[in-house]
Amino acid sequence: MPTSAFTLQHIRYAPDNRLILDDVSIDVSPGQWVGILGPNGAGKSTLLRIMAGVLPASAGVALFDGKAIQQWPGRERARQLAFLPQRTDLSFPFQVREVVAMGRAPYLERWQSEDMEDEEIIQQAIQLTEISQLADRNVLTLSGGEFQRVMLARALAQKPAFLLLDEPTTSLDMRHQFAVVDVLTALVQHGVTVVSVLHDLNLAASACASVVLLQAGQVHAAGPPRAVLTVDAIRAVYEVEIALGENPETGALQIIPLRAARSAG
Amino acid sequence: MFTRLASGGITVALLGLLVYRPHTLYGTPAPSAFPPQRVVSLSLTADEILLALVPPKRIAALTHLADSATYSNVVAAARAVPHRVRANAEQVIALQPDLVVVSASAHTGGTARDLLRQTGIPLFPLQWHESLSGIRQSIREVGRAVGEEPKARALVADMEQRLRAVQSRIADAYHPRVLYFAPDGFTAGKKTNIDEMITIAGGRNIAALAGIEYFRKISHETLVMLNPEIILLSHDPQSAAPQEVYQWLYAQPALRDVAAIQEGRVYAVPRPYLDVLSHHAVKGVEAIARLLHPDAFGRDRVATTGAS
Amino acid sequence: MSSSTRSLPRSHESALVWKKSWLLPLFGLVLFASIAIATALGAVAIPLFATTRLLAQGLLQLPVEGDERALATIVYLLRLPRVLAAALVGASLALAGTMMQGLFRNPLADAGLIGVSSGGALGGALAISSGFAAGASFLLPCATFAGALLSAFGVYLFAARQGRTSLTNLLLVGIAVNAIWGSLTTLILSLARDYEISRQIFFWLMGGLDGRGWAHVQMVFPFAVIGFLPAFFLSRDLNLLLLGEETALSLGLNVEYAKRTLLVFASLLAGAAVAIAGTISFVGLVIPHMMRLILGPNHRLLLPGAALGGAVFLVWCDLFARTVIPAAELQLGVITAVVGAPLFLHLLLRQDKTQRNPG
Repeated sequence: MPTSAFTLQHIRYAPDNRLILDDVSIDVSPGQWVGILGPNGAGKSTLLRIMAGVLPASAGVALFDGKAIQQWPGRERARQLAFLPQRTDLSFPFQVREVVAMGRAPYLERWQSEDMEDEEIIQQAIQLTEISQLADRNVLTLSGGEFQRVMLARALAQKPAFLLLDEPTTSLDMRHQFAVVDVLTALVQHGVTVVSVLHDLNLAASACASVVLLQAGQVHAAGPPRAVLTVDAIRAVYEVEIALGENPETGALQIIPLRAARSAG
Repeated sequence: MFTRLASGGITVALLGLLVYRPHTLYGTPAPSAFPPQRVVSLSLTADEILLALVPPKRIAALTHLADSATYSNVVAAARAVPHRVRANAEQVIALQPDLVVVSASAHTGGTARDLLRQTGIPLFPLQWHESLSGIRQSIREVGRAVGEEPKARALVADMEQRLRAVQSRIADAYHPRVLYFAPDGFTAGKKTNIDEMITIAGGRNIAALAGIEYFRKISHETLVMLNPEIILLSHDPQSAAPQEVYQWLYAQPALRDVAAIQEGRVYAVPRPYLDVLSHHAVKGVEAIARLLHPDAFGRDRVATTGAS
Repeated sequence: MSSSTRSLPRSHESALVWKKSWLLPLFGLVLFASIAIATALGAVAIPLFATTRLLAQGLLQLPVEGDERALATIVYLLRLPRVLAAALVGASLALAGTMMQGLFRNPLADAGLIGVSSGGALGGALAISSGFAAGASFLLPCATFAGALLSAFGVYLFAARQGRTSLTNLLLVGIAVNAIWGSLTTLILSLARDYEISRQIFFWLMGGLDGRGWAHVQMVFPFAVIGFLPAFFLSRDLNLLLLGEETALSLGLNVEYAKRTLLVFASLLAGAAVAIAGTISFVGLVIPHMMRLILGPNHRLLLPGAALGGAVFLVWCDLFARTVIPAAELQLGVITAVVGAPLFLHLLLRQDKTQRNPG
């Protein structure tokens, strides 16, 4: 059982005096799915990149498993923590399977090739993300949604205890959205921690154990979806009027957007 | 992976052996008797000097330029030698020469010379001398290299005698202001063979007097300022008639007031006489002297010197 | 390719590589045959059989007698080193091109086009004109390497934004860098007093292999050997870099270190090539492109494949250059450009198209 936990303390990110994140502090308990929500430009992706250790914070500290994320040796970190950016520009004609196999890089020495065990993991990742039919395709011929699943498979092949996903479902059709959510939910049940930036509030409400609502680089609220995603909070952060309901089948919180909020002033 | 590394290592080691072993095995030619019996020339100057010093059967090959009436003073004499080479090391080696005369300066065939040097074939680097005394030195050096020193001495003596003959004829004459002016705008200043030829032929090279060194491009403006009494050009005896070469000068309105143009004293000398750095340069001196001093040479003006 | 500690069976990913890896020995054979053929052809006609026999005699240091000595000299002292030089230069340029394309994540990056070669030429010109190169034979490749390295880092700093290099940036910086280095080289050329020095510098501006002998091959051999190491050690790094710097970083790659290593090795290769042959463009563009079509983009196969392919390509180009006009030389750079420029335009148009219609 992974016990990794993420603790962000007073994270600030302000390149060239542009304030992107200001005093963000979050605790992520292991074995949860945490959604990071917020309107465009709230700093969601930046936060995720700081957590992934690919972007150093201007101030504050991001502790992963009790150790600052920047202090982790890269390969060791990559075995614990996988990061899927919002977009990957790959302009070379790799086969899908080769791209997924790159997820095994942190486990392989410079001179090593993948062995059977790696191969099984790659195969699993391919099956979980439902890209078996695409496995021999050239990635440049894939649609955006297909490619997104390939990249998810690549992240899963890292066998991480911690998954950082930037909008993993945005370009997927509805059926594959459900499939990906199911996969991630199953991973969470097996003890994997997932932190994902999400645009779909209903998805966050149904899948996430807790959510962080960001506004202009600051945490507006954090906690279980029902506590955070209130009518007032959504109006304040998204400037949208909503009604709240329940999913008739799952009983999850359902957010129904009504109209843009009239500005208070 | 280790097999891959091992095979890579072995390949590198083998290649290294091949690359770094000594390669002088074939380069050293069989010791040959002196004087050399199979001389190959890679420069036109050497062609001209060799033909004057060595019997044709001892010359394995001349340059292709030897056959070109545009450049060569030895078109007829060269027919006695069957082979021609370009500056190509393979062709030269295939002729199995026991001496290769190359131009020591890099102007021509530099890479072929570098390659031949690696093979160990005896090379004779012919220095590039832009002077008549340098030419005499070249002849003596080539004579030594091919074992024909008496002939070389005789050739030099003949040169000197002919030059003295020219000088004695023009000794008391007025030395006109002369400018060499090629159609591409280049003139010959100090430290050029042409400057020396003009001087010996009884002219004052005003380009040299104006401080120009080597071959330099000058503008029409400079030409007007220098105001030569005689303009010399070179013409390709194979293609253009002398008059065609300088007609354009007369047609330039800007040059109307230049003394040489006004007096119609623009002359063309066959190019092989002027560009040469062998003993044939004497012909150039004689030709120029006849043009500068028609009275001193009386009626024996040669046809190639053009009309005034 | 099997690992020592991890278990024996081939994986799927390896299977992909292995499916095509039989092509590498084949390329090796093609290279071997090309070297034999190119050594047999030249200004003086020597039958292929006699050539191979003379080559074998030369390799085994067996004596050759009589008239054959001249032929043996031609084969062993003139042609073989030149053909090997062509192979070395071709392999170096193709490998450098492959690495730079991975590094810049742009299939149009080429040592010649982006000014790395001209930086090497400037370094070489400076070394010759200052007399520095005359000290020892390995100093010239050192100078071209330094010039290439400086140029590569400069281009990288100017053209790359967050690890991504837009085509326009890369080509514009390449044009500028080529122009600057080219004019500085010309300046050195015009200031050179000694004709021999200006001849050598002029040679750099042209690019070619005429007059190359064993001394030149010996001069750059160690540089090329060191430069070839990435083909064994950096293939995964290059693959990961193609996913983007952030993803590569998140996969545990030390991106900055990998990029610097790649730049140094690519410059080493480009510098070695320049030290022998001057600036020759398009080899680093044509060969990686063709090899990607044949072997796929996985650098594990692509790097050695590009090295072999580049060697074969330049051996044939140089053979063409020195035989198409009897006993005279065409410029090698002209021939590679004739082959490479149309392909470059084709790639440029295609990339332009894909950039306009994303997805």
